[in-house]
Amino acid sequence: MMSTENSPQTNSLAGVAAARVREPGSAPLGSGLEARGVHAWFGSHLALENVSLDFAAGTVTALIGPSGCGKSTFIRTLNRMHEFIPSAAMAGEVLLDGKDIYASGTDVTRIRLQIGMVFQKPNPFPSMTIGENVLAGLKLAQIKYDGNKDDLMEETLVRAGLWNEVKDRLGAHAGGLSGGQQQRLCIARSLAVNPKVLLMDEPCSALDPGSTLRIEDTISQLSKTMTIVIVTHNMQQAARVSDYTAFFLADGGPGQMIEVGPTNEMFSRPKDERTENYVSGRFG
Amino acid sequence: MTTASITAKSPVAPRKPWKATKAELIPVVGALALAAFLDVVVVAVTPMKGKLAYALLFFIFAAGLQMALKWRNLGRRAAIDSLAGSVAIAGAAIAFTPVLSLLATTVIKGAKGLYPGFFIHDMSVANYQSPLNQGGVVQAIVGTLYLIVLATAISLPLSVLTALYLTEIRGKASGFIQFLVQAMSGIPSVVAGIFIYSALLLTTSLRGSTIMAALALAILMIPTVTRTAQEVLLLVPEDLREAGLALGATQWKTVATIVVPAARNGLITAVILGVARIAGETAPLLFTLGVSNKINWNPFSGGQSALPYYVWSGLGDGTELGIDRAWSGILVLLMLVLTLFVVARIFGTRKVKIK
Repeated sequence: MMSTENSPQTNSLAGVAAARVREPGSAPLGSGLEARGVHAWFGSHLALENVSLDFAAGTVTALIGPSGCGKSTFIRTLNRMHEFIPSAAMAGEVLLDGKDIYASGTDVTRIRLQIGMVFQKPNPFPSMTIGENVLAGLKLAQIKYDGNKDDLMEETLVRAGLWNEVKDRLGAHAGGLSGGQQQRLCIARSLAVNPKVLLMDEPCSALDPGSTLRIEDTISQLSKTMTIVIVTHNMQQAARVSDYTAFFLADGGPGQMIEVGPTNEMFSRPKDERTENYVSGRFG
Repeated sequence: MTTASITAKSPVAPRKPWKATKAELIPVVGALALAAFLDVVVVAVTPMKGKLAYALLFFIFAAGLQMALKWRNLGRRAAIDSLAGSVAIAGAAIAFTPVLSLLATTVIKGAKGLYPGFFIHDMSVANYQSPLNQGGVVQAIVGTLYLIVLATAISLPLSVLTALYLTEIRGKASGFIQFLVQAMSGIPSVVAGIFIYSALLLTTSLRGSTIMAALALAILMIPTVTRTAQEVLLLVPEDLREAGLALGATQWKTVATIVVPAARNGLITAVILGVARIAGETAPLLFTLGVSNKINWNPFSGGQSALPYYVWSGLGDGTELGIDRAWSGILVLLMLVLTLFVVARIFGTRKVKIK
């Protein structure tokens, strides 16, 4: 799956990326997601052209590229959020465990339950307490949870790296938390319904470095049990958290995926010159 | 291994896989047809009769069958979702039926008295019992337009300034003024008329005229426009105000060049709601407008006519011809108000070039 050989490193990011090599034999969990020939339109405007990308189970894939290159559009096609925009259209397939999530007769709410999403801006529900926010998914998706809900709340908050900070004020309103805490609360909220895939659309773009590091820790922990796709503008972050990196670019036309590969290779010896320029900071 | 495939550009057609396909629509349409069939059968064999029975039973059968269809395909959650959607549609239908019925009745009854001269002649050449091809409402159209323009001219600046005080300046009196605005919106319209009558007409030598009636209408218009303007100004993001202030602008410049233009469409809606509030008011006019059966171009002296007043007089006349004239007056008022709204929207919406 992944090359672990040590390559001559051309920049420091590659060094960071090389450090993140999966231990052999660590069983990948979660489910694989595969995009096949995904196109996306807004009205007659083609925003994303022919992206095929395989997210293997239990891996972290970072999507990088300059603003407006279609990363966010692409990630929103992966859990059928794209269709909320009235003029939107798409082509291609997205396979979850081999089944097309766009197939006719699919229960789209079930799809979104299995493919969770964390948004750019922390969006805890304002009318709910911290504890209620964590368990909101169970209520919203009308899931009967047999186990102890308090245990589930603790477990998900621990996994999201927030438990120690909020364990004494689970009944407080979520609005009183800092931005980083709110974002980790949103991650905990997505985890409580046990998704197989977690999509993260620039989850740290509004956060301070300390909160960002905590969320990156969280991502590393989560990748043991689920498949993660993360959109990021921060290349250090892509290097630190991801196994694979995909580079997107819209060169005047629709957004396209230029190149994808193991993260350390993408940062040390990318095949495409444009990727090289981008990861070395020469543009974008 | 993950691989990029940037293959040759193949013309791929955009699809909307989330929209129901024709094959998926067949059972839905079938269920609706079955609901209609069951509806007819049940009404025929049971004592339930009438339009209401048809409508109610059709809704129950259609909603039930759609629910069953969803349950079979996607389970209980989807079935409940479908039921909630059906109830929302039913609610909208119940709310709109009287509106449509009212509109249809007005058009049908009002059309009887309409002829081209209705918009040209005034009532000095006819009375309410005259045949329907004599006389007209031109004096009332002019009067209503005068009233709308004057009442808007009086209340719009006051309302927007009050709303700006409440949302931008947020002075110490905000709470009290907010309370007054709310209390004002509860004033019965006849009280506004009596107020102007007792305050301005009884105590001075002034007589009923367009401006007096416009003042009474402005009292009714101010709270509506203020409340709506306040809501739309609150929708302008705080970031925009801060961005203006951070460029060194004064508060006045920020409000005038950033906040108010950003709320422009909403402010037009506020005016439209205010005009809708007063255009059909009759009671305040009874004490303040005076009477005229001819066009009176001078808004500051002499009696005036207005469409709601014309309708009221026609109904008061009580004869068949008078009532027919009243219906025509209502129809003309509706057309006039609709035209004003369309014009306000066309001229009020800033043209944005879309590439």
